[in-house]
Amino acid sequence: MNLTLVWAAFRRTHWIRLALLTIIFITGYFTIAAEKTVLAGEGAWFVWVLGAGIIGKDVSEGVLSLLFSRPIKRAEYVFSKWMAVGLMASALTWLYLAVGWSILWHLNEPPAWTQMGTSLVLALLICFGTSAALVFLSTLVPGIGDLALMFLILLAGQLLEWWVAGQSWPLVKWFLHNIVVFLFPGMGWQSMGLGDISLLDWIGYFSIVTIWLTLAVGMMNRKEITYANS
Amino acid sequence: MAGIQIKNLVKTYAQGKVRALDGVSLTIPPGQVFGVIGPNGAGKTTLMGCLLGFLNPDSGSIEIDGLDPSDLRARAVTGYVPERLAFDRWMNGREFVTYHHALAKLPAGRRNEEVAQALSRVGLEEDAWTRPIAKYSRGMLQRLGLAQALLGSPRYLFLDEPTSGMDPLGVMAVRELLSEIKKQGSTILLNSHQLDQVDRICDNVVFVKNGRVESMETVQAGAESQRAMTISWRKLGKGSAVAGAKLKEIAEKCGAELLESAEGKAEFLVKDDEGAQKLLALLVRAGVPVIEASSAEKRLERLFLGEKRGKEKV
Repeated sequence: MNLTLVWAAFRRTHWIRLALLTIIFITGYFTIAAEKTVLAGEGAWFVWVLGAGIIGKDVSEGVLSLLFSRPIKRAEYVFSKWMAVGLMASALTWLYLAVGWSILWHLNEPPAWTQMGTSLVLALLICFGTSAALVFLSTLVPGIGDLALMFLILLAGQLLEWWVAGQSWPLVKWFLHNIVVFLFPGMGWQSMGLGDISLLDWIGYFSIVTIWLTLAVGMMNRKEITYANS
Repeated sequence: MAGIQIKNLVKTYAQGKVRALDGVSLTIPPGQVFGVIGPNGAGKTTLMGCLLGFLNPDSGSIEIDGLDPSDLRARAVTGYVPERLAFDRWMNGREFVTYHHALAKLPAGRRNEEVAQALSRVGLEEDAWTRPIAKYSRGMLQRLGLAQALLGSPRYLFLDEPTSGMDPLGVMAVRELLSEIKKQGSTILLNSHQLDQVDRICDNVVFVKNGRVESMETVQAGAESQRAMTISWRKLGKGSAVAGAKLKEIAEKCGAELLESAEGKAEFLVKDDEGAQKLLALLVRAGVPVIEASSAEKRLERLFLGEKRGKEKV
């Protein structure tokens, strides 16, 4: 991991993203007040708002050539981007949870300490898991095309799920059913306690994250960086 | 051997349909300023992309100090100024160079000092250091690009059109800077369309066309003040034509060189303005009815236009 790249990614955050985050925060608190619960799953939204185009924007803005003229491995670049989005989104999710719990206390609905501890851990897992998927998608398309790609995958998955509903294709059904698990690793655990998560679930989570990051490094290593061929 | 060795480099695009580099072989000895000229689409930028490890050649090899261009040790001794100045525009000038100092993994203890040194060295005024890059002019961006490339005194400097968009003063400053860097022993590869610039700075110049090295010219030291001039005269009758031997003799008298002569026209290489005046005076005194004297195309212009007179074939 390269701390310079992580720090640069932090600093690059545009005011539009901050405005979007404020909207998520405000709407989130209405939900908290209505449902009397704070979910760590909001972290996935923070990942997409903060991280959309984390690599794609570097590609479209043409800054990669100068960056890779420096002694930096492409894997180092990918991991730094992943770490930057994961850390930023985790910090924001923790802030969101803290404010949410304060609201619940104010409403005389204090959450259990164990639930709070679990939510903090889950927030980390969801943010870093989703960031891994985002980083890979960002290597595929320039600009913030990764966001469009994510919505397209979700939409296509939903449509296909309806289409195959009457068919007897168990493998296809399993895959379509698990698209969300792949795009938002750890998301399904947000209403569970840490003790409820099986060893197989943990292995699945870390496998998905590893696959996304490996694919992202592979894509970056294959990428040719120049405007001469464009 | 230290320096840059390129052997039979082939790079294609569009599944092999476009041959951007077609068997390029070059040896760039250390400490040289090496110019690459050629028309648009000749393969100059592709060559630089391969040298920097941005592009994967289809075949052939490149060694920089005996290392593959993708080797981080080769990158650590390399500075690069891209043609398209796509910098992180949300930073200011000082932040940008500081960022690259950190990316280059240079000692953090000397960061502030070295960043300020690099910015001053390229002549970027101090009040611009804290200005957002988005507000920089093209010339200022060029200087900023050079500043980041000079960090850590790289042994190899790859410059893609480093003076395009610069004012004449800026161009002169860059020329002086490159001479200074050369004296420090750095090897410079310069891609440029500004032939005059290449002619003045480079030790060797290669002409690339259709992905091939068409020719290479060694630029003589101190040749920058020399220039070719074409002198035309009224055609004389048979028997009274100006003989080549006579023209050569006149040229030698004033330290000029006869490059070529034809009926009613000759091309000379003169040292400077004074040499040109002397040559003209001697020709008139010798009875040559001169009607026109003009600057001829310079050597690299001729090279660019495809005339290969006196050039070493590669």
